[in-house]
Amino acid sequence: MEAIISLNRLFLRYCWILLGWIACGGLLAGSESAGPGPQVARKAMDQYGDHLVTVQVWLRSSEGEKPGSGSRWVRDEYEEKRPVLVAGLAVDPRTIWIPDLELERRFISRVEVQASGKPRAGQKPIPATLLGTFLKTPGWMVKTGDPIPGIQPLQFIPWEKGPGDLITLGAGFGRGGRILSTGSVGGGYFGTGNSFWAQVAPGLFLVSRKLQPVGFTFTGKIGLEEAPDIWRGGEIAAGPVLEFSAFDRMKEAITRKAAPWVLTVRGFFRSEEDLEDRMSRRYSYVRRRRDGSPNEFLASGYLVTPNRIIVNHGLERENAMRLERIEIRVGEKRHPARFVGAYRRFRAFLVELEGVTLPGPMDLSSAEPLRLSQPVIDVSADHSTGRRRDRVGLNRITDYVQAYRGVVEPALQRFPRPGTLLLGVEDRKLLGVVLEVTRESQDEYQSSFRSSTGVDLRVLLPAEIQEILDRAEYDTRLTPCPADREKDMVWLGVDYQSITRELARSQGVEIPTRGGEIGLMVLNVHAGSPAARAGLAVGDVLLSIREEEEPDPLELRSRSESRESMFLEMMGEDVPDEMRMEMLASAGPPWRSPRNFLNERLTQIGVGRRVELTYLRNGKERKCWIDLVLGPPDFESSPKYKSAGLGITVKNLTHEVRAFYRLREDSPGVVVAKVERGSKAAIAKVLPYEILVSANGKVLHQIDDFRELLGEVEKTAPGERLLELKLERMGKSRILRIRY
Amino acid sequence: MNVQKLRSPAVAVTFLTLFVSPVSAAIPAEAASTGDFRKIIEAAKSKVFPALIYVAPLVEEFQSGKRETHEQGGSGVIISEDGYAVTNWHVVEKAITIRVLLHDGRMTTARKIGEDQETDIALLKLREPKKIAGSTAFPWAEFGDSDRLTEGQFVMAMGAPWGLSRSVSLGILSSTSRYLSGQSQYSLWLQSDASINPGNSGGPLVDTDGKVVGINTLGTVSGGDMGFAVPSNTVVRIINDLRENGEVRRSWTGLHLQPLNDFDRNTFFEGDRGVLVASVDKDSPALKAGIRSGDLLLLVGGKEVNGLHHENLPAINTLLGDLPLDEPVKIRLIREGKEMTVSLKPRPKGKVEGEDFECKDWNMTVKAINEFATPTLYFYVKQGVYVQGIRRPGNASDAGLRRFDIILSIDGKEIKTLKDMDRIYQGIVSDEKRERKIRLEVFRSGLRYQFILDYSTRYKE
Repeated sequence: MEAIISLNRLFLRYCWILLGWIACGGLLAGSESAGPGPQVARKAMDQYGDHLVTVQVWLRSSEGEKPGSGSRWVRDEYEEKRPVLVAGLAVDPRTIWIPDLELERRFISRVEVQASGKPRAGQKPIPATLLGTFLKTPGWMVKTGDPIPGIQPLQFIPWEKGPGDLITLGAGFGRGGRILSTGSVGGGYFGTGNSFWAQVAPGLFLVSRKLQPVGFTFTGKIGLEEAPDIWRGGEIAAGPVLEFSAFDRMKEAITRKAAPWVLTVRGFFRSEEDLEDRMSRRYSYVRRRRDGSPNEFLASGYLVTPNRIIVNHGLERENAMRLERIEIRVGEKRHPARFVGAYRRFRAFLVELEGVTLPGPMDLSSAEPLRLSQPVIDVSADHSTGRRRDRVGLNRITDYVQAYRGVVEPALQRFPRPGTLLLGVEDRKLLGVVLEVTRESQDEYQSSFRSSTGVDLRVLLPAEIQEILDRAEYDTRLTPCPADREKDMVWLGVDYQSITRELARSQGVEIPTRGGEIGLMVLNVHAGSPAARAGLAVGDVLLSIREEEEPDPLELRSRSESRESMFLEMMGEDVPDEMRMEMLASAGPPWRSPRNFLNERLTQIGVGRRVELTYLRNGKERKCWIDLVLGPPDFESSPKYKSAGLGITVKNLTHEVRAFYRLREDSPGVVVAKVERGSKAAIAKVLPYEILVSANGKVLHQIDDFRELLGEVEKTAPGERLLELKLERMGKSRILRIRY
Repeated sequence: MNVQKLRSPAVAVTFLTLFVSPVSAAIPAEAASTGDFRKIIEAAKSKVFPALIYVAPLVEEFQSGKRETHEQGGSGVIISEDGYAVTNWHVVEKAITIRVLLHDGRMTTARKIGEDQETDIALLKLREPKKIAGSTAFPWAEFGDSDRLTEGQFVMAMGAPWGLSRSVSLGILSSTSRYLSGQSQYSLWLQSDASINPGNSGGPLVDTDGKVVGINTLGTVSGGDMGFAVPSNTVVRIINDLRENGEVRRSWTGLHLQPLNDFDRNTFFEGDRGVLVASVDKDSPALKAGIRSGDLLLLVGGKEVNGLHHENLPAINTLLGDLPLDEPVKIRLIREGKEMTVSLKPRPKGKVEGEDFECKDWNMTVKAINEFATPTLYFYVKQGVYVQGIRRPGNASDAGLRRFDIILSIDGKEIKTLKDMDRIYQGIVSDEKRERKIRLEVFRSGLRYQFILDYSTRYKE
């Protein structure tokens, strides 16, 4: 064990050294083209090497969170109780420039500076503080209490040319300590049409060929045309600095200013024990019941008008249907709100306060574009831990990227959370709002402004929010509905099998079905269904559906089919009862559910809408319009009755269950939907999906008959109740007597 | 609990010749001293051991979607001088040839006289092997009376575990009347803790008198000292039928019974006589006679039928199975407190499993639907053929066929029986000129599916 641990340590250290080398690697590669010769490199190192000092940043956890959620390296350093080492540029004996660490300051416990030059025994790091941040440059300023020995103030020379002629001097950290390297800017140049830049490593000291100080790279990218003040030393030194102490003093005022705009929203879902939870909970909080279903969420919302709030919480169809109640919290007050609509393009929905208005909504008139390298204050209310935490940070517009759906938009240096407001640093005016984008499918174009967790964000100008409000593009599928409508299903009224290449070939429909890739072959048309009304017939091949007003049709290709053969294996063989029960319960209903791919899709489109169906009959393409209507009740939507005393849930017989058991329209019975483990029914070996034909001699036609009967039986004292059940399955029956 | 049949897959034979002198055993085992006990065991063993045979049949199988043959190992015991031997049905099921190893190391072959799947018993006749000096007829063992067994008495299991011929293990009878749900509706089981393993199937369970009291048939899947044997009295009844008719002819009423007291289902009915009708099959003699689920049967042909517990059911099922076919039987029953008599004319039960057929070029095997073996398929299609096995990779698998698909038609020609299948298959594959593709109509999930099976690819064997 000991050996394994020590090996592990060694490995980690090795990795870390490797990382140090990787940091230098880019430089070495760059030096091949037009790097300085060995004499110049030696001279540069001798003259300026001491200015590249090692800044040690010690980390700590804060408010129960660990630092470096986005960076494994930072996390490792924290876990290993080592400081993060950063190469800084000592511009005078007490002032050091370092790149913005993109780490919240609450995670930094202390900062120390290790002077360069030849190490001497007993040499201690010099305590330092993070003074503040440059406003125009993504860099921080560190001040030491004691001067760093051997450092003279740097005199940056004015530089009008681009960075192409500059020599770089960098420091990496390897096994032997600090390693200096030289190179030149521009192993290659990059351009998007919007900008043109050279790729560099952050933290490089830039000097001219005559070895005069020119600048420092704070990011990995030097723009060649715009924003030279990001890297030219003279401008940086002269530029404004926001001291962190001043910023800390500002924070409270900023939080206060944003308080009316960013609200806490709490929503409650109706709970359904059978439903699986599919709710996204990336930046909001979802409390779950023990069975896994969420029954409430906590998220932030923007007050966009005196009574309307955009809630930063993505709803899936199931959850939207079960959204029962929403309240807006302002301080200790709770205001009820009603659901207005879920946005089609954003993972957010709009709610409206009932009977009250709130003061000071956001001013959405500004359409002022955000400038590159513009510093902004980001304000957000984080609810991910189940409590509200206001976060204020300094961020910066570092890029313009072509994002999801081809929209060019500003990108922030630090990835914000949805529900973040961007304010001006000086005037604290609302500059932008962050919303999460809804992705329609995973294969669509991937935004570059996307976090590792797969969240797509958009930074929107206030005026764009106004536009969203005005346009009111809601997703009709995402609407709350009463419990008894939750499982409503739209149906076409056909059973089908997916077409195969061979079937397509045999019918001569290879071309329209693209070689059997798309198409559902109709096996059965239910009488009185929309399919029957539209004149569909057995053998027709359904190709696509197109929603009215939507330009693109959806091609029909089936997913996996029923699990009936598994059921047959279970029923056909000599499987002991107890094992069969487990198997049946986990395998799910044996019949073919009408909730197939096609009907699910039509249900998502919604009742009352129309779709154009394209199909093949005898190889010829035909089209027809289908008005979407609700299908007949099926096993899932059929009402249920649960007897807690017996531990059994029954449902009415629906068309697909009758078809599976070959029961006539008027055959009596209710179907066992669930048997609770360890219950009276389970001990009596009642199996899921059996038909309960009669109880105490009374024939059951629907669940109410059973409910009534149990009502009678349960008038007797517990322990004295006697129930005789007749169960049937596939033409075989048995009789049970349960005393409870 | 999960029980399994004990035939051995391996054929690893080690020849052992032991000669043991017979010793009389009159002293009850319980009262015997250690030395006496050893003698009793020795004596009992020596009576049956020479009659023990190792049975190695070459059997065919269709489960994998292909007709395959392989040799498997089991045990048996010779029961008469002229070379009749008993083994399990599942040892020699679908056997093409049967090789047999005798106690003295001589090899011979056997032919099947008859078999009964319901009780898992088969009767073999051994061919006389080459004589060696001194040996005359076959050594044979006697049956004991399994009804007189008591729990706790010593028994020995003999057989060829894992193909190791002539092996004996010792234990006690754990139960003389074990009911195993789903295993044999016509007989109870003897349970013992004498160690048995795959390969012991068909071997004798022997008491301390040196009498065969059972035929070892089932073991537990998860191991442990639990073996199950068919009691000798059942075996004797079955082999008499087999010797006479080559099969056991049973009558079928369509009745499914349940006991009055069912601890497993926590279901208890009042009363101490009669047996409850759980289910009556569609179109069955019992249904025609007017018997309904929930009726309490009291008398069948004047004989009392009392199904108080599961353990009583095999005897009642046997009684029903032995009902004469030529005349109706009177059944006395109680329905809703009223006693009544009905008259029931049973029909022959017939086969309890369908036959197999290999569609070689299509890489699948099919089987006839049988009321008793595949009741779920029978529920949907009374007469038909279903897909038993599919080879992967293979043509049927490529076409999307699955196990338990019922084949309704091929190229529009209806398939009702295995004969239809045979005829149509041979007709199609022998036609060299036709396109090597067939259109199948298949019943699955209550719907008629279409498949095109292209058999132009020849998959490796």
